[in-house]
Amino acid sequence: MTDRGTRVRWTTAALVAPAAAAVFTGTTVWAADHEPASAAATTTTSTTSTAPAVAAADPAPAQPDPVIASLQAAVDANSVQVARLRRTVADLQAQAAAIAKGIPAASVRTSTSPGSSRSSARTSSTASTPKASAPRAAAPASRPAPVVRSAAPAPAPVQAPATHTTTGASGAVK
Amino acid sequence: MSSAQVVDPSVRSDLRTEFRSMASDVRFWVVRPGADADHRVAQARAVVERVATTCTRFDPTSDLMRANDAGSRWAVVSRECFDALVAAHDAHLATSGRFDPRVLRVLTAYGYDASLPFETRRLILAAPAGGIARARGFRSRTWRPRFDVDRLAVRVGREPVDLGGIGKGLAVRWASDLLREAGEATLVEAGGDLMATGSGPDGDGWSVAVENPVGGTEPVAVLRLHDRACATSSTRVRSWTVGDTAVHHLIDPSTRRSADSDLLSVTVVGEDPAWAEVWSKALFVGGRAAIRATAEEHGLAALWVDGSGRVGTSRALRPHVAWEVSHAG
Repeated sequence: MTDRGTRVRWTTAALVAPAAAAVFTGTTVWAADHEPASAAATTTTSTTSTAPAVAAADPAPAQPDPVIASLQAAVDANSVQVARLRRTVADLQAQAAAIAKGIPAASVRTSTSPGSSRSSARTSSTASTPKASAPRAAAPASRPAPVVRSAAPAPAPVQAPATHTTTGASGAVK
Repeated sequence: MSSAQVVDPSVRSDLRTEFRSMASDVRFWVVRPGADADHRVAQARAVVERVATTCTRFDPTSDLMRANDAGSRWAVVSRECFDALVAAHDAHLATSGRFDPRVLRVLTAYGYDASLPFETRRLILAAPAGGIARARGFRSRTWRPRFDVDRLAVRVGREPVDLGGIGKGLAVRWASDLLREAGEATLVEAGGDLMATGSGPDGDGWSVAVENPVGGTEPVAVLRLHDRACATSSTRVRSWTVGDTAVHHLIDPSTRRSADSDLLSVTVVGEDPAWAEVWSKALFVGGRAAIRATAEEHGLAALWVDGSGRVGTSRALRPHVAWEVSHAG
């Protein structure tokens, strides 16, 4: 009985001891290779690596930080829209004031009224030679800034407004 | 007194015409047309047809092809063809050679010597027996044609020219000039090139969607135009395969091959459709690396889509943008 019990214990120990040693060694090696904060570090790295990819599309020499440049571009684009809306509001206020004074609204010339842009462009477009009608710059924005948008992957937050026509590839059937 | 709404019988509904010419859909739109609008529309259509007839490279008897055949000898051509060749020469000089109409041999070598069915989407042509070879003996020097304005005679030189793009822009320009007084506002468009006069049907300008060259129905931007022209150069449609070589119709004059551009499309807004067409092509050929600097240098209102689908704009374009696709994030 004693001999048999001793043999069973030794056999069990012979099986369990190497397995325990293997588990301990494996755990130690894994722990040595993995730091507790490695997941957070990976996230940080991937976040910063996407920023230069956007900026690389149109590098801005005057702005070394691409994230700031991208944000600045958004600020500029929105500023233009704000200015446009302010102009529209001012025009509408002028028309409202004119109506209050009894002047027909149609006779009030504002910065966005059709007549003003039409007459100015008519003069320039009468030139018949190509050189005379070469494209010129429109009113420049406050400062140059890179504008980078995505055409394919990102859907617009607001649907495109209705349009009268489309410009695109020549020969396309619309 | 009657409370019925009084309708002014002199106010007509908008006049819209559409026809096929220059391998493109051509459209006229006259807002609140005047009494002579129909006559003006007929005149405008006639000028488009004359440009198509005289400036085509697909008809060996056209004025352009006769001038090409004459090469260094004088050839008398129509007014439209003469003016188109003069305009092409001006564009060649203004773009420092980035626009060069002497690409006919390249297009012919690519099998584009007739109207091709690009709408089939995957057009594959057999390679010529000797393969696609660059035109021999061509040196990329400044183009120096000769013009005799009294006789309407031209000497285009030894290298045949193609007026495809600029011819369309000029047709739009001339048709628009004839239509301008036909109504309160007009739109003339032909295959991506257009001229919008007046303030549009609703009084707040003409809304023009800029096609996404990647595909889909959503545009990359919507432009609001008042008395402005617009043209787009894109490889979305006119791309095909010759043997095992992918090619398209926008030829780089410096390499005599389809432009190895990392751009998918370039749109230019300007005062004149022919110049918008010229610059859209020149900017496309220059590629993404140079497009912003070139556009700013020349004060061009340009929008481009690169191979990754990203959209860029020059400063001069921003006042024309009514809507644009959102940031990628």
